[in-house]
Amino acid sequence: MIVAEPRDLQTVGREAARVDAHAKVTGTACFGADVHVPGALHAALVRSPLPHARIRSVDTAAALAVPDVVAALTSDDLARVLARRRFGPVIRDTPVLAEEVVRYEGEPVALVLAATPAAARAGADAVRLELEELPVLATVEDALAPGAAPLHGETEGGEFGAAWSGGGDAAPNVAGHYHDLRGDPDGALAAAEHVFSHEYRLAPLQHYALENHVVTAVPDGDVLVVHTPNQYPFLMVRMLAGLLGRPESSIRVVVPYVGGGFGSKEYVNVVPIAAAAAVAANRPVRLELSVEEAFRSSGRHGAIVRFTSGVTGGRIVARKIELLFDTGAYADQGPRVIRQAGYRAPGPYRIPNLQVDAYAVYTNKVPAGAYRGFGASQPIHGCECHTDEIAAALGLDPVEFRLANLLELGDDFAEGDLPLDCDLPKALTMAVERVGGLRAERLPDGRAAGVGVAVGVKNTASGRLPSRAIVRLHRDGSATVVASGIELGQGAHTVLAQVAAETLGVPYERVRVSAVDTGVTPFDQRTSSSRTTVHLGTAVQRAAEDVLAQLREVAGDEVDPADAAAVAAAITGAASGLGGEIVGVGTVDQDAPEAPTAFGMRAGYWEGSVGAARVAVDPGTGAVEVLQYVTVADAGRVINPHGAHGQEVGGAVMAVGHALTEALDFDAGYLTNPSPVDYRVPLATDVPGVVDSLFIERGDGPGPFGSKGLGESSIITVAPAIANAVAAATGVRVRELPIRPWALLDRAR
Amino acid sequence: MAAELSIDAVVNGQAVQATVPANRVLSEFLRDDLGLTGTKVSCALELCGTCTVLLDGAAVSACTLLAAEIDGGEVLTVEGLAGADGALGPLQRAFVEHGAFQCGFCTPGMLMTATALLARDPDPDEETIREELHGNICRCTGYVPIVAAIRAAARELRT
Repeated sequence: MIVAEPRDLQTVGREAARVDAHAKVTGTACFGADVHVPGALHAALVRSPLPHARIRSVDTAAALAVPDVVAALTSDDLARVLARRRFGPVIRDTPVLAEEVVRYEGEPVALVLAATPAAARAGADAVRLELEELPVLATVEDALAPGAAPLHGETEGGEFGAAWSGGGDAAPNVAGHYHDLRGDPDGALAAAEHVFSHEYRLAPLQHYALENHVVTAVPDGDVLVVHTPNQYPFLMVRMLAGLLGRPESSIRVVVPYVGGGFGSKEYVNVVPIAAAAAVAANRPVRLELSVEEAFRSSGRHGAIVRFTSGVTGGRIVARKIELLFDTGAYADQGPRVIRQAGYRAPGPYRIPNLQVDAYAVYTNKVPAGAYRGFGASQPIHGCECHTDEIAAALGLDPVEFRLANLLELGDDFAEGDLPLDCDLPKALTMAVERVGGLRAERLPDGRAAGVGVAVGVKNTASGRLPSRAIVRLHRDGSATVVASGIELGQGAHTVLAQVAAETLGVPYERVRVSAVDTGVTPFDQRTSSSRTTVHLGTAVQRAAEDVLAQLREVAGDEVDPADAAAVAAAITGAASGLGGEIVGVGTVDQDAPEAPTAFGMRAGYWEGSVGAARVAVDPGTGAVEVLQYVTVADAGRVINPHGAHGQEVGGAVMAVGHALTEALDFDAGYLTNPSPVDYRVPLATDVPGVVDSLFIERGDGPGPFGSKGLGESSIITVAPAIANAVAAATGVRVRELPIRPWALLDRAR
Repeated sequence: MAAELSIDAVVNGQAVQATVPANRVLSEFLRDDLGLTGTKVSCALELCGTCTVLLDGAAVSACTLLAAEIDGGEVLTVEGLAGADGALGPLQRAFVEHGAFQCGFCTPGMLMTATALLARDPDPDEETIREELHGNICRCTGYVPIVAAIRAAARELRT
């Protein structure tokens, strides 16, 4: 590990302008919808109008009569080009197009290919579905009720393996179960001075990335080229190779700039449809979803979280937790999400006796999957509201109560895992100080104001996940990073360029980062779990070190890589034999050590999350305004302050929506608000007047220059901090998210 | 087939003549016919602001405005913001300097809304800027650096 002092660093720790800055402010940045392939057919999907039904027939005759329609494809048509009928990252339960049964409203049943988008849409609207309604599992309670019919029959494991499902449960609609038992929670609860039980409910959410899903699949000889915004391009290659029965070398996933992901672009369930259709039609196919269709693709799990804690002498002595996650009609990443949720659920506290059970439950709804925070937000919301409720009941200061129970830097979150590498007590103290201390007051305008805090921690990127990178030092002293880090907006390419520039000792402005193309750029496990800076960044650092070693071999140890003339002489000199450039390779191999914990794998590092909110509540309307939000991250070393603050502030504001306005409203399986009119993400006018993002930097992270990941830290604790602030201001505890004005009104009466 | 209408307009300083179906919307005309793909489309409901362009100086949603309605008018898109020499304009520079974008999908629309605002009000306060951005959704930045960038650009433009 290299831990340099900031003063020695040229680029790292500085506000380097983003490598994609010029492209993004001039409109030249190419996103998925900007990929233009001449002759591509436009696809439109026929979606189920019912949440659960048997498919009697799919009649495409009228669609084929629509001018410019070229083909109308059903699951039987796609089956001709599929080696495998179903896909899914953990459980292969998802048909490419629905077969025999539809399991959620909006599930794709057929698709129409046409010369124009309008003709494709008209054709899709002309397809006649004959459906026979089946009973709807509208809620997790319905799905878990004794005698509930199973939504799925036999299934097999997917790319992540069935092991992730936990499995083995008798309950037919459980897609995954996580169980942890430490000590004797029942005995300790029976012996505790005080026992508290609370249940919280969190609405399901949509990512609402501004860029809707778009796929352009292009048959090119025996290679299928798939242009699509995606965070898991190599997993997509594996999945498509398996579905289409082709070698991985005959699938190329090319990733343009991604217009927001937040988890929605990890395992995208329409990619296989477009890919199979392109193969079936042997024509380029472009499938671009509308915003309403994006709502019918994936989302964040709605959840019921139940916490029971025993407290003696101000210390938490036992905790039992039950998490019910509504994973919708198909497992997607739900079984992985609930394992992470279950492991993180106890919160970063010393709890000697613990039981956790977390379930992913099938229902007849849009599948839920990855969402920024990956299962941390739901349990930590419960944990931190529960913590405040306990403190209030015992007459304790909520900050002091936390400080008395919080794990400290170097403590075990669970025995055998990586000791905590974040200083949560210090972060909490910083947040409270910045927000001006806990207080409840009446504002001059008559509103009730209060302050709330929340603390959480997220185990991140189990061990080390593999990354490969290439750095090319060109003869003029400029350099190109060739790597498969997806630029979602988080600044991955900028950080990789900074790491390469810093390591090589060349000016940042002379480093470029390649676009991602799985046929060209080397393997990277995936862009998720706040891992790119740490793992791929390390691979880039090693590739740059490899370049330096080669350069020194031909030009001597004294050569200055920033001296373009010297580099040119070294590279092009007859003696070196290098010819045009030096190619360095850096690898980070998989190292996911098992841990003797219920989760089973050791964390690569911990993302600590501490938030403090000050809110004002209008007693006349119940409207909540966030006056100030403070987020503190323990970042190791900040590589790019703009990027780091951007992740923290952006994540915090995103979660203001989770706290106050966002909910997917389902009525008996029907999604009633799939539009930005009725699904309310934060607007510029909803943003807290002050958002402060503070960092603790010890330079002790496992990434380049002591960095850690932080893309998911702030978001985890925003909603509970706001809920706790609302309770402090009003005395009303709302146990549902979002906190609706009428919930406050009703309860305040 | 829909009736066809003719367009005689100026787009980013260039004269444009075309014949379009009456139901063609401006975003399709800009992106598909003129190749100006900097203008993005997200909601197609005139709500999210990603498709914002200027028509005779006023911010409009290209996703719903009929292309034929620009006949006789002047359109400015994100591609027209930089100088003829390619130098970034003050708002573009301020967006870069303040980290006012991440994924960049909302950025063209944000820049156009801000351009219209500063043309009308050279010294908007923070509240005015937030009100003006009410129709432009950003999912990445939390809006804070966007507001800061617009204020900085306004300062530069006034001096």
